[in-house]
Amino acid sequence: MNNENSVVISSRVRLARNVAGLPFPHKLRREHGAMIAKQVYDALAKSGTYNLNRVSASNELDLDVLKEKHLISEDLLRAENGAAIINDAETVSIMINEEDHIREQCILRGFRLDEAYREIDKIDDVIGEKVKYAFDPKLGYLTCCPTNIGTGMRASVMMFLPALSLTNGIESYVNAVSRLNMTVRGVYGEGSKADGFIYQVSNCKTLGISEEEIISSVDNCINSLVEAELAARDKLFRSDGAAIRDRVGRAWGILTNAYSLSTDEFMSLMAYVKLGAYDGYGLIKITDPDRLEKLVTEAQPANIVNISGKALDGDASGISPARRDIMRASYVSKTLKSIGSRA
Amino acid sequence: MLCDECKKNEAVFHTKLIKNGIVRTRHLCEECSKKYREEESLLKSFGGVDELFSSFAGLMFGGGGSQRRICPKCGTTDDEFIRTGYVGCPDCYRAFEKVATQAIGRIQNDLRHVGKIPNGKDPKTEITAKIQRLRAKQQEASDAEDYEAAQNYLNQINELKKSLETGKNSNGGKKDE
Repeated sequence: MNNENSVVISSRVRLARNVAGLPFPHKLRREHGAMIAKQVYDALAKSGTYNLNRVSASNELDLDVLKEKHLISEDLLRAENGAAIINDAETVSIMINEEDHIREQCILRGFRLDEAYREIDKIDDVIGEKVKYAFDPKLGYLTCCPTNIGTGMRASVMMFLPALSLTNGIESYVNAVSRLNMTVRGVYGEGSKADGFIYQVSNCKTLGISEEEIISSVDNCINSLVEAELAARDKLFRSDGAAIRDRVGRAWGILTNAYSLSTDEFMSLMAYVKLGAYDGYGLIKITDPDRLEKLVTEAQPANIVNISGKALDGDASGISPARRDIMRASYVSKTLKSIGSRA
Repeated sequence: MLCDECKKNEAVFHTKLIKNGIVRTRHLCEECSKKYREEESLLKSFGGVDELFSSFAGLMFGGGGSQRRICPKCGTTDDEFIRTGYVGCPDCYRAFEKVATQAIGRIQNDLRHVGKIPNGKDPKTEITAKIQRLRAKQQEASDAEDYEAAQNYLNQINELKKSLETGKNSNGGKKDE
């Protein structure tokens, strides 16, 4: 995997919008809330194929699958009249009635914040032609919480930072990044214990800064984190190459041979396989890096059950965790063997 | 929305907690929120209250008080806003302008939008926003005793105002940035 792509997993830009004249979702009457999803869905009718998923009409498994793909949030699942409008390619997801009426987001693989912004900006215009947004000339887009007011924009990048985590350098970077008005948090874990060494870096400031400035400030921050991570990888290998080789080899061995695999075990071993696939190490040869990254999502609990086709009508209750772990082991082993080998 | 804690009752209190700069939301029912507040005051009485319980209000107001205002549109009170960090509707920002401005200033370190304008093609909205920005620049210039620049901004504002009245999109503002 090339240098940048071995550190940056995906880029996301989210815009928070609300409908003018209506109370925000937590104060909204049921009948008004139900209308918003339809209005936004209709506005997008001519801009590609979108699917409208209403939380109340969807089964639990489908919703969990979307959550594991980071297309919807935990909060949306509990929202009254919550819905998600998602395109076929799963690069655009519009959450309805989460904290704000409309949360438009574009998620792309790799380091492509600018492209993600241009895409979501276009969609924002299309929806804006049919929906009158709550906007104040001085304060910008009005949101339920002042932390999002102004541009309503959050630009975030998902990063794989194993070397910074292993060398304990991550904390000083988290502090440095937060001084630049950015936040860093674990994607799968809480706070600093990011399972799989996966972190999300995003802007905090949304007012008094233009969309372009947000993108470039996050870009700059990511560039320096990529540089630091790569330097840490070099240093780690120079100081402890044998240990890295051993851990990567063991991880590959277990993931391609285990009969049963829990999510936690998968996440921690997968991190070493990904690290081994980094060009600078060249310990694992991967023919399809995108497929490798996709496997991280596919091996999550709801996704693995969904792929297996064993859940009838979205009811996964009959599938025990033990059975799921066996399905995961088989799927992971087969996928890894088809796209990679030990160098 | 169900309560985060008991997962049984309807959540009526929506709060934001900030830890290490990370904002988390918590939705609680009447009963569970009471429990939390009791815990919080207990912790406070032992002097052991940590960041987790330093509520959103602390961050936004530094302990400042409210003006006891109520939003005529949605019925949200400024107390509720201070407690939860959420306003109830777009009009709340005007209804509790003072506390809202204070909160926004603390969180964003800024009070003026400089980004996208909805339907940027809508000349009226765009011009109004341009005028707001120019007015701020005019004030900055006059504060710095640069009256020539201030006058220049004023001319641009007047031209834009004229175009608003006639409904035509004049290019009087030239370049506003």
